[in-house]
Amino acid sequence: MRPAGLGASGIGHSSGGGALLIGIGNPLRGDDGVGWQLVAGRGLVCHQLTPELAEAVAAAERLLIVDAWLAPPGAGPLLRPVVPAAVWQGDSHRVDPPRLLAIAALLFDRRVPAHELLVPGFDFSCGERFSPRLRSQLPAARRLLNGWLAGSAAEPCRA
Amino acid sequence: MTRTVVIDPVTRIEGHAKITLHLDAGGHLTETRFHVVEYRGFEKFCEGRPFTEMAGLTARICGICPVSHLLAAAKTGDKLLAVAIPPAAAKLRRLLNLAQLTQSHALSFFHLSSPDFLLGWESDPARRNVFGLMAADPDLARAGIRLRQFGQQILELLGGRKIHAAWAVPGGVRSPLSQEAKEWILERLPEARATVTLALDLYKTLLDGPLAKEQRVFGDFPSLFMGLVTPEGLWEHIDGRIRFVDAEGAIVADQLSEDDYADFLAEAVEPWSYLKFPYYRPLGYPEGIYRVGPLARLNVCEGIGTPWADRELAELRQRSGRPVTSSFAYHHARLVEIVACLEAIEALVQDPELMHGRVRSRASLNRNEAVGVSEAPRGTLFHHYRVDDDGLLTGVNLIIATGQNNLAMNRTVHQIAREYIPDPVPEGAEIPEALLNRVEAGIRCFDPCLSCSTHAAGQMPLRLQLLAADGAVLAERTRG
Repeated sequence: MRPAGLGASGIGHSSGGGALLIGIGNPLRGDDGVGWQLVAGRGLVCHQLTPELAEAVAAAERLLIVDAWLAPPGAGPLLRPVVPAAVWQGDSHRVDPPRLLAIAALLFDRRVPAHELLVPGFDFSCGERFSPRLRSQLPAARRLLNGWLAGSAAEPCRA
Repeated sequence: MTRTVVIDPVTRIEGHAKITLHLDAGGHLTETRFHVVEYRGFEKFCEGRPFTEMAGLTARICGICPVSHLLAAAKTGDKLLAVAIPPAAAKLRRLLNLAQLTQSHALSFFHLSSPDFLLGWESDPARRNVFGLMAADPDLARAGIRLRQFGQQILELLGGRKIHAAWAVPGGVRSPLSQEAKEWILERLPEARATVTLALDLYKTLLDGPLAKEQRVFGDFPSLFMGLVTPEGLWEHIDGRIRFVDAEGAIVADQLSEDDYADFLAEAVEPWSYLKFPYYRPLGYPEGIYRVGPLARLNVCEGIGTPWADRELAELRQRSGRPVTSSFAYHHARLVEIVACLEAIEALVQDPELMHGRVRSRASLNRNEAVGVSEAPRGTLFHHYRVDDDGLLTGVNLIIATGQNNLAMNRTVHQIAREYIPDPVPEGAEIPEALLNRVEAGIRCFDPCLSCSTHAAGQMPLRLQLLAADGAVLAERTRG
């Protein structure tokens, strides 16, 4: 899908109130596309986080990253805060949410309050359909997302 | 007992590889091999699909240079349809490729290679990456990120997404450029020009000082060079014909058609790598070694045809010769090509014909076999399709830029290892990480895309091994 506005710059992607949503995943790999579906039309979607997103993050008042999650058994959708990491930690080919926040702080001098919404995924094989187990999690995930948009996610919370 | 050093995985490249350094019984370096250890087999599983799907399918080979496959597949499709595409479509494809070259070269220079130049070969490997660069020089890192973003943004403005946009199709492209997109490009061009000016100034300063030795010993050897040129012999990246020059700058073959690639290119295989070894057929294997990519494109052309890029090309030649035979100069060549791209982008977006609404010629299948070619960031890319009367693929051959540099990459790492690895390597000696990093950096000169070249699933790490004559692993480093 094509996001509205000018895409990678992040311009025009705020969901209102300076909130930026980023959905991560591969929409051709089953449950991995849940981030795209939940964010579609409301923010940025991408296969993976890259340093180029830091500018859009720095321009936001607050950030929510939505991704599929290899959750422990019995876990439901999880909304939790993200804090910046030391940018050089880990390997140089992967930008995770803490590192993206760190890049935004380092290059654009902005510390952005951030959360991630993790939705348990079960089937990551090729295809554009979600597994029945993931579909059953979507209402709870949407409640958490809408709650965050309404500004009610100061602490980690589960559906 | 002979020994072998193994670097596995090679880091800051697109793909999964390892390097082995083979020692004889006296500890002397005898051979260096760059192994590509991934395989996927796109050529085979595309068989049976409609040729009209190839742009979308082959773009999935790679997340870094999908545009290159998109364009080569679309051009091959044009020939199967036997159509001339509308002038606006030709210019839009050209704009797409210029943006692709810009973003890919920016990624190579700023994200992957400049940490070596700016943080130092001996610096902490945990911080010797783009994130370390951000900490050390945030202004440069931010400028580099925004330059890549500029190229990526044009890709998205044209194709609807930054990667895997199936926008170029047989017969043209799917949609024209919007006025809003044109204005955005023009607005951001001055910043892009300022960034590449900054990078060129910085790089030339380094070349005059701390990088002088690298320029001399990182893969400086005679070889042929291949690339597209215009009928006048100028720099070209999507149309034009193929030219070979030798290490003295003499034109060996000129205005070759991609249709005849099998007459002048052949591919050898070695049992220790999934990456084939293309060579210039008239000279045989391995004497037919040739290089492709930014440096080759600048070596084969008479000039670029735009003022700033021509000045930079003249300075590159004044500093490094004509042709430039050092593989380290690929870095400099990338910056010169970014200049060329920015000038060409500026001219194109102001061309009224670019905004014309007719962007696709429609026809049914008219031929059963075709070859398409374009210049990917890493070099010349060939797509060769055979189809049945229903347009279903019966044969696919992809000759990828990185593969064409395979012989040169092997020679480069051998030359670097000879320069930096102790001779002989003392029994039980540890090889300093900084030395191994230089060996890896020899590969990074070529900015190889192993996902493309083996049409393989991409992993990023590198391994290096030191092997004894009997194959025993004496030392090993693995980085991800």
